[in-house]
Amino acid sequence: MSQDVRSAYSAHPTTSEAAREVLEQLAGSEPAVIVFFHGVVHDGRTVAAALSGRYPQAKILGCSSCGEFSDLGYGAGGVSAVALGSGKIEKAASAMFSVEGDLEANVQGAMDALAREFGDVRQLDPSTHVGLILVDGALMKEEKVNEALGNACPLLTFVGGSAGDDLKFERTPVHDATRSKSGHAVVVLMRVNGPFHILKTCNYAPTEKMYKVTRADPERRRVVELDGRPAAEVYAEALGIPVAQLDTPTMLLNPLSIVIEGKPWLRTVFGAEDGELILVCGVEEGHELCLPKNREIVEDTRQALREASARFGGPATGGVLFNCAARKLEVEIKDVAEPYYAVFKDFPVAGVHTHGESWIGHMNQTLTGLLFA
Amino acid sequence: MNSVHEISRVLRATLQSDALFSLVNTRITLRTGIDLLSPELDAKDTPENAQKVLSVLEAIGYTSAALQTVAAKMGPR
Repeated sequence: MSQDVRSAYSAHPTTSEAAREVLEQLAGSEPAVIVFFHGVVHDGRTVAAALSGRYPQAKILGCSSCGEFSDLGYGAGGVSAVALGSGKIEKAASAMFSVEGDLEANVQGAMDALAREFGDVRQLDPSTHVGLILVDGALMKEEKVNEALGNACPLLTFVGGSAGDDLKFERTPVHDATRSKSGHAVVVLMRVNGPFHILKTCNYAPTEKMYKVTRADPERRRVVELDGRPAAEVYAEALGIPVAQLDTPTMLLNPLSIVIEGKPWLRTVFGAEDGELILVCGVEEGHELCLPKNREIVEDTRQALREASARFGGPATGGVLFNCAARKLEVEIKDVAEPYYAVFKDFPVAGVHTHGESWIGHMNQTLTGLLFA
Repeated sequence: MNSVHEISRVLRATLQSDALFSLVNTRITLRTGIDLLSPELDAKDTPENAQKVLSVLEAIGYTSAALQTVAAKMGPR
């Protein structure tokens, strides 16, 4: 197993003990970047301080979660981490910015900070440079954050997710080496030695069932009308049930989706209220939404990792994974946790259950991540 | 440029990479619902939609003037 990437996992409920166990497992590594995820019972500042104290040269980024996993274990209320070694990451720079106020200016400020290390980020080679992003997951700003990143550097991508708090959407801090803040995002930009692959998979396939968004409130992530009728009514009708029967498991297993180049970009349906649908990702008026078909989650995930291995000509040597909290719930509903998490045992990885994933845009119900050859 | 197909052709020539074209197309689709690689693009090729796509390209730094320059070099379809 490559020493360029080292993972760690602790299920300990006490933060200082969890941080100690993580440091123990990372011992001997020489990280350029450390990514960590922690359950809401933990104080992320303590974990960040422990990591930066031991590895002052490393860029540190972390966030709260709806659960954590790695090749070493899984659960909720623990800590997972991955150390990306200097043999894998040639250069890295990080920045933190507020997701409130003038977001375009805030993101540009962060890009300017990264540019002090890398030069003009718009000119960087996207085949050797990639970013990670952890963003507040309670303020519903991820769509605008991703748009602002796209405006600042359209050919670079940042892979990541929304910090979680067990789907309460109340307090979802992100961390760097010295700061812990809600209402913020933290990014790290990396020049990578060797091939990397951005994984984005979901166990849903597009169907012919398409509906046009005729009224929406994207800021509040509400779909008011589909095909000129109350959205909840159209959605329930498509599922063959009355609106009153739209319960959480039913909506969870029946997300809506934008389709781009034949691939689904899912939006979790979180509730129905006053005829409107409440999503976990905004959609604009004029978008067409598909009701995709659910597939088997374990095999789909295994196949996605197999395809990444085929690209690399062998198993990945490490990665950072962002798994939607809705997928965690789906795994629990289907009682397939053991085989699901076994899929991640072949290489060092840190994973987080998110309030949504980021890559080019905000999305839900995917497994999205960055894998290294 | 008031045709989505024409913008797509010029954008592809500008980016000179299928992967980068796909990346920018995804940014456009997420913001407008107009997928330049959709087999049903003909039905959405209206001047109004062309303007929406140009607005996104402008926001990410590809000005209409720059795209017009590329289009002029490419010549007619």
